[in-house]
Amino acid sequence: MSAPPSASLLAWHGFAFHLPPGWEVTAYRLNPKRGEFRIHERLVDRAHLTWVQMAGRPDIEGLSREIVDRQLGTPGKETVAATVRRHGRWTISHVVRGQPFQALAWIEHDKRLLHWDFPAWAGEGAGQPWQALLDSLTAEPADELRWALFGAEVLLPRRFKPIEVEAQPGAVRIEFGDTAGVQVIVRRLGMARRLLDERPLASWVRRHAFADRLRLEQVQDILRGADPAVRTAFTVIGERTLDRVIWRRWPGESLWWHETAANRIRAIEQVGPSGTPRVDLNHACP
Amino acid sequence: MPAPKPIATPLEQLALVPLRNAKVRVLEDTPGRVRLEVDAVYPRWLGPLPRLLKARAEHRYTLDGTALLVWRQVDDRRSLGELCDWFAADQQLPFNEARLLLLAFLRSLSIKGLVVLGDRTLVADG
Repeated sequence: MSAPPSASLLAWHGFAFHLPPGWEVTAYRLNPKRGEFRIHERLVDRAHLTWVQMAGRPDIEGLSREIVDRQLGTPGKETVAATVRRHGRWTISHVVRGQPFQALAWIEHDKRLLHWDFPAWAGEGAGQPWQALLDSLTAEPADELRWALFGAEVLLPRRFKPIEVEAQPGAVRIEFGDTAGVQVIVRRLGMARRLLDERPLASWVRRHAFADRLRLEQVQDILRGADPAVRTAFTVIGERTLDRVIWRRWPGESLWWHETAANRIRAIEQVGPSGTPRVDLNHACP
Repeated sequence: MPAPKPIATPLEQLALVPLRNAKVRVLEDTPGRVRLEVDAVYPRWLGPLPRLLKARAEHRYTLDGTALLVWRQVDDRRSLGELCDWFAADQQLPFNEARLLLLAFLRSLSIKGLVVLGDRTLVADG
């Protein structure tokens, strides 16, 4: 079986799913304690994922029934006889065909409850997209976490936390940071062939460096696998107050490459104070 | 106060057909670019002022890259939904990302007076 394209990978805060073909994230709230993703297929609402960090494991089955009661109960009939069943590590509660249904899973090592809310129950079976979605869950304790959203993907040590997500159509930028002040920025640009018809990749990298006030020290055209890539070394005025006052520059490096088969440009960039531990860019973007 | 009703829901939007301005004149059409000319339209309340001040009577635009690609696909028949499907497949983008990008391109063409989003059902209903 061929691996799903990375655009379908949704990985955040240590859990990862492969979205069914055509499903895409259209809205998000990325608070680590309580966040959510909304998923659409074209304009049709397909699913809603919520995560909540909790002090300890809740009563999953009771919670599942309560959610269904709150969702489908009526003033005269507050409780609904939901069917609750296990599916792998998921607890699924549904009522009848066409009605919303829930799937809950508890991630023990992370003390995180994952809750999928699907708009319509259509039975079980290998052909059901929700089943493949739930089966694709990976959430194992590891020193490195995979982050993947809107086709931008990175593998980072656990000390890095997401700081900012800028998701514009055709241009995605996700910034991560650690306590030592190192920032890692991953980008994904769409319509790569159109962009590269206009000017070569190295020229786009220089334009981006100018816009971000980076001083390029080295620009090197390389190959990443079979894809053309550009590696740079740069400096930028540090972000801390003293660095700004005395114009102390932080060293940084970036790697941009054209994923020819997927028609997109991806980039990873890291910058931070001198002497701080860095990530290997090639390893971070497999 | 109730929220204002949107002019068209996204689903209704997809049924709209982008129409070329029939009064647009093509000055040059090569594979890499197209030069267009369209009459300038000034607000009526300005009266004879634009003519007295010798304001431009027409605007010229050169389209290349993605704008040209989109312009060539606007054929007064394909709906916005069909164009979104084509754009998503052509550029290997997710549907909604392609939809938002295409709407942005069409909006910029519309501001220039080259394209308008129409609803053919109104014509059919008389």
